Amino acid sequence: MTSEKPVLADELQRRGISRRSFLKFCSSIASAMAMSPAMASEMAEKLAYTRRQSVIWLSFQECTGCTESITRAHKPSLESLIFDFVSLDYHHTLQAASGDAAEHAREMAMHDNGGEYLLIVDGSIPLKDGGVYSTIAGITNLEMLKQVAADAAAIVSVGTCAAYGGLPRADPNPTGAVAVSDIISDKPIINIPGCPPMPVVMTGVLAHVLTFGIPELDSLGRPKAFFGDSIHDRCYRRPFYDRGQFAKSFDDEGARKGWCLYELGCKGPTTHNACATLKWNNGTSFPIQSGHGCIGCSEPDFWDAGGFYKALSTGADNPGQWAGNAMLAGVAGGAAAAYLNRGKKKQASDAVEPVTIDDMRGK
Amino acid sequence: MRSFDIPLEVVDTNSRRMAEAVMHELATRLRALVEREEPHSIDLRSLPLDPAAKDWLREQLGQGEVEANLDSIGSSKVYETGFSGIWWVSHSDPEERVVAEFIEVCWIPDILQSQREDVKHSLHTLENSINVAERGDEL
Amino acid sequence: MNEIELLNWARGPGLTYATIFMVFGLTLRVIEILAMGRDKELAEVRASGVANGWRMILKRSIPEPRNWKYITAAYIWHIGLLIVVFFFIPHTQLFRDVFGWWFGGVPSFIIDFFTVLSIAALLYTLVQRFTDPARRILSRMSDYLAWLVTFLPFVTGYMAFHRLGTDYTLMLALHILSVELLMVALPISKLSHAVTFFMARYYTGSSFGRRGIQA
Repeated sequence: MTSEKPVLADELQRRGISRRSFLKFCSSIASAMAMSPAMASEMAEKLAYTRRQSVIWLSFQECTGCTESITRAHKPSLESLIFDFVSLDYHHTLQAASGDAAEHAREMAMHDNGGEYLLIVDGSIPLKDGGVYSTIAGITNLEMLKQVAADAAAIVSVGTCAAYGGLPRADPNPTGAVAVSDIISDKPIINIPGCPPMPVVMTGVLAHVLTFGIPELDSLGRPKAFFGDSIHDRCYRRPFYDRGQFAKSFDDEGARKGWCLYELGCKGPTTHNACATLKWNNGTSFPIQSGHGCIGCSEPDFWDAGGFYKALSTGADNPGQWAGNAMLAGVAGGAAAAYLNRGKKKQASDAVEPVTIDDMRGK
Repeated sequence: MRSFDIPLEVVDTNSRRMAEAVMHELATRLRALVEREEPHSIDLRSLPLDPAAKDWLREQLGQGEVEANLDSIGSSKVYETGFSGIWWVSHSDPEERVVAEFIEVCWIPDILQSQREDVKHSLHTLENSINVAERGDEL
Repeated sequence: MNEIELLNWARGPGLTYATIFMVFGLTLRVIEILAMGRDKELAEVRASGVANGWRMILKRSIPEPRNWKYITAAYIWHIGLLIVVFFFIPHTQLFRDVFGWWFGGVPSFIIDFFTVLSIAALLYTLVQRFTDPARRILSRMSDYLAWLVTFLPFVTGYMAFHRLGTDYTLMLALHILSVELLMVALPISKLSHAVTFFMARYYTGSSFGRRGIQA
């Protein structure tokens, strides 16, 4: 079945896109993944001869921001071409079909490409009350994930919701939301977190999966090529942090000089993503450059990390709130301890036996 | 005060030293090209260069005799710097935003050469169009 | 639990519990000591002890010439502790958040300098405690533990700031946890002297004063 499918090179030719253009595209993707420039031609060679890859995209408890991010192309670009070529067999937001027809198409794709299709998931999976809080065509997300994952070659969790639970999982997590990796443990899972993830990261990872297979992942399942460094490690404002020059409020003197945003809540030091090097909107800018601290959106539990505008060194839960009560309890405790101590003292003094000269002489 | 009235202050961030280091590396790579035929490409995105440092680097390298403009899914500009064998390659997307930039030390950058697949395809197309033209003449 | 979850716990519930315990424990200690009162004065009081009490608090801060090496080391790291804890800018953020106001910070390279100095001084005092025969005999496990609990925040803080050791997120979590360990140890060890030292000196000074001995 798969041998009948065309290769990407044929598709490029059909669309009148020269190999030179394709080489240029691969150079920019390789550059984005911090691969050596020499790898670009190898990537071009391999990618040109990949066959149409079947992809099933499942959207669960999500805001559709990840799909929005990945389809951000004002004019047709090679990125959108890659995605067209990567045969998106099912995506219930983007596809034309709906209802039973769509579900049937999904089942056909799964059957035709058994063991070889790529499963992409965005959105978290609610577990509470039998998973009723998010369903598609009457099937719970939990059930659908298990069904489709069973015969997938690999799974890509796109966005912080699919990768770590994201916004729905934030305290108090009313729907019992969990990540894909909390449910599936027998398939390779690549996490591409971010709220939303960077478009070029998604493209780059997909290109890598098609050509070189699964990229090297860190301890949280994220491709090291994009998530290996923290924002802080690559931030252009780092010299100000090292010198201790911080903006104290938005738009103050320090802020206008471009000083570090640590005091304004920047979570750059503990956040791993490529924003500081690759930047958003085709390399235009990223939050810190625009004067707002990083909110840490590619890390687990970033919604519950104490607040976007409180510095990383502050307490996340207002630690001083119980201090008054603790002091009162301490006073009570101290008084109680003193009472017990007096008891001991009295006991000790009662036990004292006066000694006379005669006692000492042994009479 | 409107946002564009806020006075801008240029702040020194020490990346000029990085630019100077690049010059040293280029010297090493150029020697490798001459003595051992080894080409090399430096990805400018991988270096922490701010716009001022990049401008300084561009100025130092200068402009040579060759300049080429590519029109392929957005434009690209390739030129040989004032130093033979050192080329500056800049790729832009259809919205004129730079998506990749390299300094290549080579006899000629790969992207300027005709690509094998494209040539094969052209051969096929050319032979076909000649055949059609000839047949057209016959008729 | 991954490193970011550990960090969030350390900054969240961990810090809250440690604060509660430290405030509760130190208050209990102080009240307990005050409520104990003093022994009945059986001798004739020669002078008021009050002025002498206050004077003693300050006088005992002046070091004596004998034992000068050890005392200097102790002074270095105590002063270093005060500067690093209360004037490092990320720390000032924490205090400002809790108390509503705090002093300004100090350039980070100064903090760095005092941290290294304090670590060296602390190591010196440990070596002294171990090699000097008198100190070795007198030292108990609680003394070594108190030293360790004081040493760890300096080292983990330095490593975190300079991105040494392991991943920054984990290093920061360890630093915050080491501080919480110190907070919990404060009321239940000799480290409570941080709060009670002035009471002890006052007591000594005032009882001397009542006997007519100048502080």
